[in-house]
Amino acid sequence: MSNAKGNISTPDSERDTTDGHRTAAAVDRQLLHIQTLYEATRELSGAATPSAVLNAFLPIAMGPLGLTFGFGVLGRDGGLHVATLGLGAADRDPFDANARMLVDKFFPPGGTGPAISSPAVLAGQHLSHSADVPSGTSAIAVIPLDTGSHAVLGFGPKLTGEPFSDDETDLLNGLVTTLSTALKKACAEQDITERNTSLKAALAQTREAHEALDRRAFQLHTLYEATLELSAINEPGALCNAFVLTLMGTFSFSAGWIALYGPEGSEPDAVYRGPEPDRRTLLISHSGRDKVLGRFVELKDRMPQHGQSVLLEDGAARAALPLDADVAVLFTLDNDWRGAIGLFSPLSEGTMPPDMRKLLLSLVRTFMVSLGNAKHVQLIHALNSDLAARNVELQNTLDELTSARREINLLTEAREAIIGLVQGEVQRVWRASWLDVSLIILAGVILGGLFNASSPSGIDLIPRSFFEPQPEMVAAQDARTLAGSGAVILDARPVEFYNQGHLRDAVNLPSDMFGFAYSMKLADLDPAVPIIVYGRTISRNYAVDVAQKLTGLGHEKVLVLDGGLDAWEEAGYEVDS
Amino acid sequence: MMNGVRKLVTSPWLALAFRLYIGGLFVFAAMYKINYAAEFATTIASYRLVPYWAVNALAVFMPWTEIICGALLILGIRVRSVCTIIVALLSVFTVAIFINLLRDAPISCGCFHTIEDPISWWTILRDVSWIAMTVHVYRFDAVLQTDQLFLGKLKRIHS
Amino acid sequence: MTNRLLPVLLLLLALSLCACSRDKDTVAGTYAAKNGDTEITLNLKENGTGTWSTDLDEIQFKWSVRKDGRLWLHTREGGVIQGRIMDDNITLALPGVPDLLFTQQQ
Repeated sequence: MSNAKGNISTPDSERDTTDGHRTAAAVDRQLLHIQTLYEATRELSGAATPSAVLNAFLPIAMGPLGLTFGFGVLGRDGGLHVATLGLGAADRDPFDANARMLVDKFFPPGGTGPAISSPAVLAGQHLSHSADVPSGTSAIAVIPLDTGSHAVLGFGPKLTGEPFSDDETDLLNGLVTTLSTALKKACAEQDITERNTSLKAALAQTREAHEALDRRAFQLHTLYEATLELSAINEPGALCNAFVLTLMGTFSFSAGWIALYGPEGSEPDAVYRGPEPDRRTLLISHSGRDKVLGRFVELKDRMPQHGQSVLLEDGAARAALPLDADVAVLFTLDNDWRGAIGLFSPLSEGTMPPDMRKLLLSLVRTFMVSLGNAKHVQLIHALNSDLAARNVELQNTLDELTSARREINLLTEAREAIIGLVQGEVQRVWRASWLDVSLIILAGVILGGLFNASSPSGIDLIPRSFFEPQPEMVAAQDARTLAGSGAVILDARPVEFYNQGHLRDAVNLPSDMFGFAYSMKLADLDPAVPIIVYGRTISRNYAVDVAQKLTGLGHEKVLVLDGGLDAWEEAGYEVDS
Repeated sequence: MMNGVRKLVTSPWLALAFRLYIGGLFVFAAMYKINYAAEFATTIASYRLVPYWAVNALAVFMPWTEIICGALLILGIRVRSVCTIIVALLSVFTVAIFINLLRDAPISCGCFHTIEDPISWWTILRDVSWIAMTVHVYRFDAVLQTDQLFLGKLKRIHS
Repeated sequence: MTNRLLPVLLLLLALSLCACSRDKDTVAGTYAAKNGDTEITLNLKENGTGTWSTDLDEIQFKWSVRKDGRLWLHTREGGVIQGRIMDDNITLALPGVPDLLFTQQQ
């Protein structure tokens, strides 16, 4: 450009014409150059990527300069883009192979060697023989773009074979600068585009991850809810019912069932939810049991062990179950209890995604834990009621024992008492007992009384004379006077006492043989003759007895000697013996 | 020698002989008294020890007590209790006789019949020997007891 | 032993009772005696009772014959009148009265 400017300012006429032609040609050239630069700027600005820029640049640069061939290598982030124009296949292929070396020559990898900070153009004959570039190369342009991105361009000789003029060199420089700018812009744009794309991808990934998290959260929530719900239920039937509903809700099925089989002979637990509730009978029937347990056998070594469950993938196996099942799980609770879960009539089509299958198995595991607990609770309940029954039985036995013991105690006491009594009685027999003495005397009294009362010769227990009017008493002195005047004196005592001593002139008339003696001795006596009777002891009042009898016989004056023989003797009267 | 005598004296068979003798004696004595209660009352009265109002009652009841005692003694029932009663009765009789001996009362014993020989020191001796026999029975009697027959087994009951 | 002893004792008892009334049959009968003007009839019945009859009175009694052969008249009042049996005659001793000789009547 500076050359052209110098040319324009030359003032010579002839030279002016020549100069004028020259100047006009120069102006034309300059105009062409400017147009070329403009064109280049315009063209390159339309290219979207650096490689496109490079591809577009070669014809733009080669045309105005009349170059035979051109090539460009764009090194970007370790990648190479090679663009050639006008090179025959023989030249192009080696160049393609050497492109990396060419780039590395100017921009050594790892940042070693002299740093090129701005675009530079090298021109000269020496370049045409360089091994790195196709032969005939007249100019090489190196363009640093940014870290890790750079471009190397080469141009062949002009068609005319002339070397580059200054103008052309300037133009080349201008073009290279334009290219540099365009490349930088394209690089930047490409970077932005790439980043944008990766950002979008990252965003999509984030969204996916979020969705996955949401699903996970939903599954966990479902698991939590199911655990919460199941753990509150202790009855296996209710547990199955709640769980089948949970499964149906969670996995969007309109029907489902659970069957649980214990040891042979035990009552199976089965729940069926769906149309035709009667189908539950299929589950609890013997064939239902056999069908389900048959699936276990089919699984062979994949058969679920204690606390394990298996998703039944095989459609044929599912079809062999007693009821429909689009999804079926077999599980083993313990040695005795096995079961199957089936879900059918899905609300939405399609297979179950893996995470849902995982959720299903997790739920089944939770269900099995709860079921195991429920079974244990049931067992504990059964044991408890059994224990309570036994307790009642034990209590009854204890009560019976207590009452029996009380009875035994009573019997023992009674026995002791009886033995004591018997021994006391027996002891009494061999010793003197006041009771026996009293009884014997009492028996004597009673027998004596009875005999006396019934005997014709019975006697008065108390002498009759005791109750009859007492005879008149007479003192010894008066009695003596009466005796002197003819009164009869009777000794009423027994004859032995009479013989021992009696009143003088007294007649013995013992009261115990009164009748006999009276008839012998006094039968002829005048009743008017006074009679004086005596004889009395602590035990008998003989005188009174006799006096009463005499009075009874009609004697008018019968007197009893007061004081008897003693009074008589004390009075000093005569006594005979 | 002493041992032999002791054995003889303490023999339950001697006691049995005494028991039968005394029992028979009482039964025999009581039979007349039961037949002739009035005479027995006269006899009691002749002792002049029993109050006027009690004589007849005693005459009615005592022979029956005697005959029961005699019979029980012969049968070997409640021997010791019976012996106690008999010793008591004999003691009373003896004391009564003793008192009347001191009084020089001209009465007969009335032990068996109304009319007997008058009481004497021999009567006392006789009664005392009967008492001794009864005591012997009380102390040594052990064989041919009806009580033994019926209640002997009960003796073996232990608590 | 006691069971065997009991009938023996009862037999002895019965025999001794029989002994008491051994001579009753031979003694029973009617006897008469005279005491001064008073005529006395003694009637001894076989059942052991008897009557003593005078003009004034008739006295009931029981009678027995003792082992020594004596006759006892048991009065109702508790007295005993002793008598001796000599062939067909009976002699009774009443206190304060000479012995009464009763001769058996036909």
